[in-house]
Parts: sequence; C-alpha cells; structure tokens
Amino acid sequence: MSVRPGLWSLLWLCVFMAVAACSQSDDQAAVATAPPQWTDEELTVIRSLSLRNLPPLPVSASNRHADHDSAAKLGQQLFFDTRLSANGKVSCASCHQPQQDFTDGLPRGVGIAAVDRHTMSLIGVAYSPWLFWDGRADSLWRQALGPLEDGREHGGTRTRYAHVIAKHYRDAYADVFGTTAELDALKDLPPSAGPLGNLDELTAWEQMDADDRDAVNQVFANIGKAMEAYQRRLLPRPSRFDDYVEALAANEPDRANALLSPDEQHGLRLFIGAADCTHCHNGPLLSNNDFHNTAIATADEFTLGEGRLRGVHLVKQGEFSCLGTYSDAEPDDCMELRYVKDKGAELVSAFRTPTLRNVARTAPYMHHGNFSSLEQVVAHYVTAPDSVFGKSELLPLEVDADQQKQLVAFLHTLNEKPAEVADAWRASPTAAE
Amino acid sequence: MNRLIPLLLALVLASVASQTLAQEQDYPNVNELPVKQSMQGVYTLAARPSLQPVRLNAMHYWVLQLTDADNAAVSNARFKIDGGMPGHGHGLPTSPAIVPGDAPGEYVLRGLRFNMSGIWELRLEIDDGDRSDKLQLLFVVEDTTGN
Repeated sequence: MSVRPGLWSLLWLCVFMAVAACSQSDDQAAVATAPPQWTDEELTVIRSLSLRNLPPLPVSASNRHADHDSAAKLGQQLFFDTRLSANGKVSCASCHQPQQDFTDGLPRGVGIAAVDRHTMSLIGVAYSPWLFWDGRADSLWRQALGPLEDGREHGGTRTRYAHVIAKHYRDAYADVFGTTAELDALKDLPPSAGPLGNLDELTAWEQMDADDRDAVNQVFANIGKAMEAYQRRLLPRPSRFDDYVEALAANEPDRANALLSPDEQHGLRLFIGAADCTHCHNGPLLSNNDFHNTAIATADEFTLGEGRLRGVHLVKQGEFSCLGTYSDAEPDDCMELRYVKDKGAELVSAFRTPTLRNVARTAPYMHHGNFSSLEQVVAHYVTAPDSVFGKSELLPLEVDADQQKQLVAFLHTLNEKPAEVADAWRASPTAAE
Repeated sequence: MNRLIPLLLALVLASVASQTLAQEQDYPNVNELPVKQSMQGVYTLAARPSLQPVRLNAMHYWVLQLTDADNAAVSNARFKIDGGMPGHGHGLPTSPAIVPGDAPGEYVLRGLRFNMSGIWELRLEIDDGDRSDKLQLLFVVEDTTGN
C-alpha cells in the first residue's frame, strides 16, 4: 500500500479512534452533546446544499409561455379545476395538495381510482429535467398531460378537456396563447374522444380528421404549458438548515449552534460523510434528479421492466416531447432528450431521486409509498438489501442506531420555515382572492 | 475478542480512506484537464469543458482537439465513447456523442452531465480510417456550488 506522508496523520487518527472505541462500553448510546468541528472540505459540501446556492430556474425551451404570468395564472386555475376529470371530482390538487407540500399523505395516490405510485411533491419540481418517478416525461407541460388521460387519475379525454377550455377559459386562453383558432375548430367534435380513452372514445378519436385531431392536440398541449408555467412558481423556501449554513458562512458559531442541535449537526456530518447521502441527494434541492436502483421495488409490485427502463422508452416517443410536434424548442434545445441514457442494466428498477426539502412532513416515502417513517427509510439504506430486480446501487453503511437517529434529526431541519408573506401560488386561486 | 473488532474495522477503514484520498489526489480536476495521449501514442487529445467550472447535474459539452504524434490535426475521426464512475461500478448518466467541430482536428463532445461528486472515467475509441487507438480520461468532478 502506498500512502502519502500527509496521510499518516489520518491513519494515526483512525487508530486512535479505534482505541477510543475499545475503551467504551459495548452498549454505548451516547447522544452528542457537542457540535462537530467542520473541516474546510465539509464546509464546501454543506454550502453546496444551501438553498441560497439554488441556480436560476432552467429554461423550458419547449414552452415559450413558461415564464409568462398570464400563463401561470391560467395554469393555477386549471390545476385546481375538477372539471378537468371524467367524474368532475378530481383536480391536480386532489393529490398535490398545497397544505401538504403538494403531496397527499397516502402511500399511493387516489384519483378516479387508486394508482401505483406515491404522489411526489411539486416544490422545486421545475428544476428536474425528468418528471414522474420513472422520468417518462421530459418537461413539466408534458408531465401534466399524463394524469389527465390516465383512466385511474383524471380519467378524461383530450376533446373533453378542450371543450372545458373553450367553454370556461376562452378569454384567458386567448390572452395567453394569442389565438382561439383551435378552440373554434372544436364546435362539432365529439364531447369525449382521445387515443387513451375507452373503446368508444378511441373510435371517436380515430374517426376525427387529422386537422381536428391537431387542433385538439394543440389545446391539450397548451393546457399542459399553462400548468407548467404555474408549477414553475412553486419554489422552495429556506429551512432551518439553510439558516444554519448562513450562520456558518458568517462565522457566527453561537447562532449556528442555536439553530441546529448537536445531534442534528452530527446527522448532517453523517449525511455528507459516512452515510454518503449526497451521492444522489446533492445540490440545493438535495436531489440529482437522476435514476437509481435502491432496492425499493418488491416482487409483487412490478414487472422487470418498470422504473427507468420503461420510462426512457416512453419519454423518447410521442408528439408532446421536446422534439415533438407541439414543442416550441429547436432540436439543439433538447439536449437531455437527445442524449438520454437509454441502455444499461442500471436502468432496471431505477427510480428518480426525490428532493429532500420538506421530507420530514411528506411521508410516506419511496415511489410505492413503502415506508411510513424516515426511521424506516434510513434503516433500509443502512442494511442495503439486494434488489428484487436488477442490481441495487446500495452498499451497507457503518451507521449505528444512535447515528441513524441523528440522520433522521438532520432530515427534520430541511422543513421549510413558514412564509413571512403568504405565497398566493401555494393556494387555490379562489382561496387567494 | 469483541473489542478487537472495532480496532480491525478502523484499520480497514483507514486503509480504504487513505487509498481513496490518494486516488482523488492522483487525478486531475475536470476543470483543468491535461492533454492526454492515447494508449499506443497514436493520438493526443486536449479537452475543454464548456462550463467553467463544471457543475453537478448540469448538461454541457466539451470541445476536443485531436492531434497525432506529429502534432498534426486529425480530422475525419470517428469515436466510440463510454465511461462511468469506476469506484461505484456504474456508467454515465447520459449517452454522450462526439461530432465534428468547426476547425481542423476539433470535435464537440455533446450530452455530458455528471450527477455525483467523485472520480469519473471517459473511454474513447478513436479511428480516423488510417489509424486507431484507445484513450482513457480519469478526472475528479466536485460540487462547486459551495465554493
């Protein structure tokens, strides 16, 4: 083994720690009473997680209306409108509830019927190049269209939704998109027709001529684009952790130590160190928004092809992609889609890394809602079981029971602080009025 | 005996830690990639990322300059590219590709995004019709947003 001279001190430190460990009783359960002393390297990593280092929103090249206020306001109305469903009872907010950080507290969402996946939070969602747990949408506007046509979620069809826009949102639509030509084309079209509807709806869709289908698709895409403009306004607010980082940066240790307890700080040290959580949960949103097999899928839950393997197959298809007919982007704007990883064993049963912002109040966890508590989540990563499908990326962690508690304590510091001024985007438009 | 286990464990961890540290120090940072020669010495490659510094989770491209042993620009080369994180046993998170650039011997490596801090590897197979060789780049990517 070749070891550089400067590393001998590290080796001796480890030996010293081992001797110290031997001198303690076997049932040691000391909870930290003193905060850790951070190294410069640790401080760099800690700062990289601060919300104050959040970059500007990425451009949504496929949606030219993404940053227009009028589009966001229309999108907010659509987000909360139950008329955009087959039974008139389901809106996006039925599962993405503002008062629950845009989740629903359930293991798996329930729209028209129960679905297979846990409802993801929407806070900071516009930063992800991929949407859904398996990334089968490459933009927020495309994502919004998926649940609308899913029989177990909103359960409606494209013409149904286009008729709702023509009837109830004509002026707002004209204001945002500058035309009502495609709404005018709807007059004689079936009340409910679409490629993902039931047999009657599918037949009706196929009997429409191409121009009519195009007009409906345009309205449908624009519904998604307004919804994206709205969801881009759902931005994370600072947490106690962010204040702590700010205090560290200002060299105010007393303020820092008043913000985070010793256990929470030691949990942070584990998060960026021995537990290696920042491997995937990195950056200010504590997510790389990529796909990983962490042995979550269970044998009775999915088939082999679920997860990113299926998601990447789906995201490359269809008229609503960045490269599709209804995109506003040039091909060179669609770099994520053009260079998407679409082969490899790592895609099997891999699911998107969620943000950890507000994680302590958005239980249950994982794409299937498998775990009801953060304690269960941390224990899963410590034991690192094998994956039922494919190969798990996890390795067992040397993190004892007390340290697991410290990790959970740290995760609680990522909850947003209450807003100083009410955020109108975090409520239904009627509630905000 | 039970008390020896933590000691042995710590020594193993110290060994792993020292090797890991030595490895990271042994490889260049992605922002300061040195000119690299291919395995048989056929080609020399200079690489410059479009992002300075390279950030985690940010899509970007690299401008490559390919020359031969006589320092002449090599145009018309075709590339195969692969890579990943050798220490973690996984590949690249994207499927990058290399396309010709504007100048002789210039190419653009498009579609790169690194989603984790650590040591990354790119493996290139280069073939310009007359010659071919392989080239390996090993480099460190760090999260620089906290600097």
